[in-house]
Amino acid sequence: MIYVTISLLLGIGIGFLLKKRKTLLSTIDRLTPGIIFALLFFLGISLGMNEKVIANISKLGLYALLISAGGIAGSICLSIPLYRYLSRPEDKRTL
Amino acid sequence: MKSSVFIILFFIIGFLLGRFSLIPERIARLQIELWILYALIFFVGIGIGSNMDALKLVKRMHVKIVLVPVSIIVGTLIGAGLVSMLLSDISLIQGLAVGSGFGYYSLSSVIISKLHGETLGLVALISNLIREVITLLFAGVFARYFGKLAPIACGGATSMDSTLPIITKACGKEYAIISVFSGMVLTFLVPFLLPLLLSIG
Repeated sequence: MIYVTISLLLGIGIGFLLKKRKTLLSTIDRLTPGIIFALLFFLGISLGMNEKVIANISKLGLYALLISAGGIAGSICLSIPLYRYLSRPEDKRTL
Repeated sequence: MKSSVFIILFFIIGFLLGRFSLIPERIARLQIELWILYALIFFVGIGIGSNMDALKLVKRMHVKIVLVPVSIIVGTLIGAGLVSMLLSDISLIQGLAVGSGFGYYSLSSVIISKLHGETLGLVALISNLIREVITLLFAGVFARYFGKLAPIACGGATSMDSTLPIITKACGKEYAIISVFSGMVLTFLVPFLLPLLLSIG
């Protein structure tokens, strides 16, 4: 788990140093989707081979739906008072 | 949007190959993915380090803009936490971890499946994908009934790219910059927050 944090911090540091190297950064930008495709492909393979996942797939889908509904409802509930607060007349310019 | 379709396509092809045992067991069990994950996280880090535009936006706008992503984080965690307490199979930390993807399904599903387990990884993939799809479908409705920050809140991390066009259409151009800022903060936060949460659970 610590390797994830180390990779991330290392990347941020190097990214900060490479800020001016636009061509190198755009190459990295183009590589990233490929890596994500590969990872999701591998994730698909291991999930497809996982009997526990296959047996419970409809239950897992329902849980996923409920958790996203909870997260969306919670964040929208807080956004309503924040919207009122930020759009008070004296704050009009900020929004 | 186009890349989302590709990502899901790759996932489904992999899933079918795994399901019908078309991949030799030995190859599928290699720990190559873990190293690809570190490489991805490293590249995500480079993206964050080289792109500090989010900080410049705060300077240009009022500091209050920070309240937008903060409220989305708090609201999402409360909502996802409450739901997970009702579900007997999902612990609070697991529910919070799934919610902490904020719609960034590709990264959150891979991190969760590697650091915690494949089953929860699948829940994270579906759950965060649903968040993006709901934003795409209902941004207009949310803006009308709950105010113009609601579509940005629903979009979470996706409000900086895949759902930005629909949010801009629903809320108006003046909200595009808030949408990008909020999405950036949440996108940057995912690789920090997830390992932290999963190390507790």
